[in-house]
Amino acid sequence: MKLMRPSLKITVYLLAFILAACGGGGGDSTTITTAIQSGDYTSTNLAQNAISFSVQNIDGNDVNLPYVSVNICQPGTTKCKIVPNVLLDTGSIGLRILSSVLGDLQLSSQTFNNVPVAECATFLNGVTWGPVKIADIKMSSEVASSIPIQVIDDANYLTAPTRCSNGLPTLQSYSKLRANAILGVGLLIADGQKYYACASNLGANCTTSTIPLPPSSQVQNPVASFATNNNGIIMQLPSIGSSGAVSVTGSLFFGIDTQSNNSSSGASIIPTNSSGYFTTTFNSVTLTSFIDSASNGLFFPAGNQSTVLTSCKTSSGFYCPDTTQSFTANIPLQNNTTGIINFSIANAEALFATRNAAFNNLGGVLQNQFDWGLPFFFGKTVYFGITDKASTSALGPYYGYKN
Amino acid sequence: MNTKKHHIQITAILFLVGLIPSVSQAELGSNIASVMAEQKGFNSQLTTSNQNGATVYTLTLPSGTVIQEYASANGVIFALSWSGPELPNLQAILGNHFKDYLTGIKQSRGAFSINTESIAIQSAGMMGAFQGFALLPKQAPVGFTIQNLAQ
Repeated sequence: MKLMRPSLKITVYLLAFILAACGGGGGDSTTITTAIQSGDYTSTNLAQNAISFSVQNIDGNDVNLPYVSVNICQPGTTKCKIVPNVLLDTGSIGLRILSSVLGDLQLSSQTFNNVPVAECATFLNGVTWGPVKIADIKMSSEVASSIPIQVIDDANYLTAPTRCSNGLPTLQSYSKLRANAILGVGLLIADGQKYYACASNLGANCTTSTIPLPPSSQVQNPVASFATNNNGIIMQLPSIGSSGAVSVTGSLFFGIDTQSNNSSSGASIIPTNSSGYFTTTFNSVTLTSFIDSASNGLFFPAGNQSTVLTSCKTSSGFYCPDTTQSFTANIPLQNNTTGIINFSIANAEALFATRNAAFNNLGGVLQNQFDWGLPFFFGKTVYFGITDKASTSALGPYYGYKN
Repeated sequence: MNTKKHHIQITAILFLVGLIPSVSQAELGSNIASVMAEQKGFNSQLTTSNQNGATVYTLTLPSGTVIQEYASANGVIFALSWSGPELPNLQAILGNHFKDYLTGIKQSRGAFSINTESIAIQSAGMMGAFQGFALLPKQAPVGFTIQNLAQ
């Protein structure tokens, strides 16, 4: 789970981690600020419905991961904490936060039949385990009031039960999360994970079987809970050069077609199924696809390009072509039109040797699928339309992009 | 003699049919009989079909996650695929090959894809929509590849 240094062993960080964005918003005189360490990232408020995010190393090892900060508060109060280094993840749903960064915030428990609720959430590389708590989540002027979040590494829930972990690692520390929290702002509203009722608010006293927690009581996509600007998000990143950048600052807008700064006019809209999947045609093969801000590369099968798109020697999950390769893929858009995506794949080990943290041409191996990770976002405005919520362009779930 | 033998066969078939609906998870590399014995009482629905020389057991878990188990003609589970909102209990269904999964996630923060002579294993997707597979190429019917696995 430790991130390896790119120059040593590279990992395919395809991740379904989700991050949340949050607000640098402070402004409250009582806000307690977490000590900012070197490399920490705190968002800037760009507009009432927009904050900045940064693609940067927060521990010197990761590449192509976007971070924000969030302001988390005791519901209805100004007792808040700004949490930096929160992974902005469109591949998961809901805020999951380390107990250690909450300080003295007092958050009440989510309950089911008057009994506190704990959650087991699965990511590809492990599980998060801990109580579901109620908090206000603020990003700039947007507030998700009294929404369920997951607190991990809570003192009363330290050990994930076997029925949760099933042999997988538990992601219960900064070094394993590689963040203080994950902000899941994907296409869904509720996270649909496993929930248990826990007598006495103790992990050891949780039910053996899962409980049927209604979606509205589950850990929520904070954006969907905003009073306005709640139908989706937009991520905007500038173009970068072919050898990457040390860090890149982007803009995260809340809402689509709800304000003057979040128009979808001119965007190419990609309808998805209820899970957020669409299809990409690449190398004449049709692949199940999704767009994920927390996947750090473009991951797809080399197919008939396998003699050119060879795997790296030490970072075998990534592609290491001798020279940078340019490709085209097609994706189906609304109104029966076709979107043409041009992309390049450079030698991953050469990229990692630059020690940069942002790359628009990093690719890796995946069979039967095309995961459009962060390299897709550079030089684009990318839209994420939340399920059953409408913009001028479409009814969610959908993705969109504009060059 | 013939009649008696016939009765025994019928009994055996009924026994298997009776067990199938409660089969929860097959273990990669094990055989159908061990699968039956190993049932974990999952409240899953099971259907079977044939595909590319394999018998495909499809289990639908209460969460909506679907596991497909591919058995060769000699009854060995040579491949698995999964798809759905929750990851299945990978330790249970991958059995001895769970260590390969752990190897994969050690070199990755998220999705990974490993392809060696002895095993192809991949895990990808998003929360709410996980997809993955494991295939033992040496045990698979001739011509069966990962392209034949359900998505």
